[in-house]
This record gives sequence, structure tokens and C-alpha cells, in this order.
Amino acid sequence: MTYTPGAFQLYNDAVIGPMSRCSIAPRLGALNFTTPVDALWPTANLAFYIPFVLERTVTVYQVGWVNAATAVTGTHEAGVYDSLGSKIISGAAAGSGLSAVQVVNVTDTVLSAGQYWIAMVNTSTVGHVWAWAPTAPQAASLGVLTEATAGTLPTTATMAISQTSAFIPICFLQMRATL
Amino acid sequence: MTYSRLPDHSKMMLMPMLGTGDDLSTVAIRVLGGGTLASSALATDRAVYVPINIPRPLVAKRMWYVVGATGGTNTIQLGIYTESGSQIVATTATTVGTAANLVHLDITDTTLTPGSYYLAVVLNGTTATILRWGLQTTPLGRLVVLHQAAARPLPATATFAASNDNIVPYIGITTTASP
Repeated sequence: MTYTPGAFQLYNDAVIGPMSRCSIAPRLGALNFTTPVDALWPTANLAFYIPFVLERTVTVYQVGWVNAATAVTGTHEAGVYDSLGSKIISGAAAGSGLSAVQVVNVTDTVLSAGQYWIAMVNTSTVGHVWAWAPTAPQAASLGVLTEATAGTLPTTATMAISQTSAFIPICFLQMRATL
Repeated sequence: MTYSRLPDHSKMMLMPMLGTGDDLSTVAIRVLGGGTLASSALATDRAVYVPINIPRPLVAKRMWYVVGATGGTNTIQLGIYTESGSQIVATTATTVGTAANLVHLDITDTTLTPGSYYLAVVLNGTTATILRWGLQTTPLGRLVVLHQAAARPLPATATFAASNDNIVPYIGITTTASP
């Protein structure tokens, strides 16, 4: 009998974000922040960078976030940065649809194994998304960094530790062209 | 047949901030009623050794902790030990600092190969607090961490003893020099 190995996959998530085991989810769970909340974007144009690790090559087709049940005003943008803070790809759209997952098509982008940052920004001071709200500075202790931007994800991130941030947005990269 | 699809784990990367609660210790903390983090002092001069599993090679550049509700002038020292109790590296003793702040302390850049280690912490007084889990009842700490009395500064060789409380400090390693 000839053994033909299948493609090696350490995981097969359709989407990757902070809720993934390759990101901050294990320790977020250990901190007992297991329930997302309908949360106000804390500061207009404040970007959040959430670390994650890929152990195999994937292709990103879409980026997205989860709109809350309240106002979803403002322009949302989600994307991915390499470990050194250079933007690889992002997609933006006006918030649309209460209590709805919103996705934006991006150029099909191959990411090889390595460490990356998923990023998200919102231009609105009253926009709500689903997020976790860990007591500050516990988001920082998970490696979540922030940057005051001009409203769009910058080409090169200047990430900083926030000692007061209590917000981790649910944003994601989608590895399937359609869902 | 040559099987060539297994990933080369030696080249894979880890999250930038590792810590207690990330891996196997997560399971113990959660099932022993760790719940959310809280502030507390540690017994004066008593080192607490928290197990951590390093799945891939990494270079530890800093160690971190989170100041609890009360900062202050007590000093804190963090270190990394082998499973058998040999100190690999330690920070200098440093004033605990401002309440509710994530604090990074520099260490000599240190390569850690995959394996089991202990992260150690000791304070010289009980005024300052750090974030930690409190397991459901007092003796349960014996199932997760190790203690050593009169262990300030952190010793070159640990003399492990059983824990007699329920405290699991929230501390970790950073693989980046900044932020």
C-alpha cells in the first residue's frame, strides 16, 4: 500500500482573530474574559494591533469585524501587519448592519508561517462593535498594542503600550473566498 | 519515502508576550477556580515559581508583570529557572511602580529552547500588590506553583517547596525589546 500524506495542517480555521488559539484566546480565557460585549469604540481613530502566529501558509480573502446591536457609525478598517509593523493588506467600509458580521474583500494575499498583527481602526466616536473589555492594563498584558491614527491603518505602524485601554475588538481575517 | 510536509518548528515564531496562563497552566488555573485576576501582595521574600512550557525556541528579552491596585516602594525581582531549579536569568530588583500598570523589566537576552521552565517572582514587602489568580481555596496553590522562603534576591539554585496558599502570579516573558 502506498501512503500518500495529506496536506499538513496545524489548524484549519476559516477565520483568524483574537478569538483564535493562534492569537490571544488562550490567555484571554485564562483571564476569564470569555464573554464579548457590545462596546463603544473607545477613541476615534485609535487603532488596535492584536498579535497572532501562523504555523502554515494561508491565503487571506476577506477581513471583517462584528457590528454591535447599537450604533455602527464610522468607517471601519481591518487589516494585517507583519511582525515588524509593515501593513500587508487591509480593507475598509462604513459600518453597516446592526448585530451583523461585516466583511470586506481584499486582494487575495498569501501569508507564510510567522508572527503577524491583526489590526482594526474606527473613525467614529460613537461606533459600537463586539469586543472584549478586560480591565486595564490586562489588554496590554496580552500583547495588544494601540496607535492614534489619522483614521486609516498606516502603512507602517507605530505601536505603543496603552496602560489604560480596556478594549479588544473582534476582528478577523477570512481564509475562504466565500462563506 | 521521504515525508517532507512536517513543519520546521525551529523556524516558527511565538507570540511576542508569553506568560502564565498561556498553556498547560491555563488548564489548571481555570479548573481550580482561578477566575479573574485580582490584586494581592506576596509574602515578603518568598519566591513563587510558576511553571511555563516553551514550545519553540525563543529569545527572552524582557520579563513582565502587572502592578495591582497598590503600587509603591517595595521591590520586585523576576527570573527564569530550569525545571531542575537552576537560575537562567533574572532581572535586577526594581521598585514595583505605579498601580495598574503593565511593567517590563530588561533581562540579558536569553535563548530558551523548547521545554519546561519556571518563572519566578519575589517581593521584599507586602505593601505593593501585583495581579494574580486566586484559586478556589487555600491549599490548591500546591497543585500549580512552588514556593521558597527567604529567597530574595532570587537564588542561583532554587530550593523548591510546596505552596501553602492559592496564589498564582500573572507574570511572563517578552520576546521583543520594545514597545
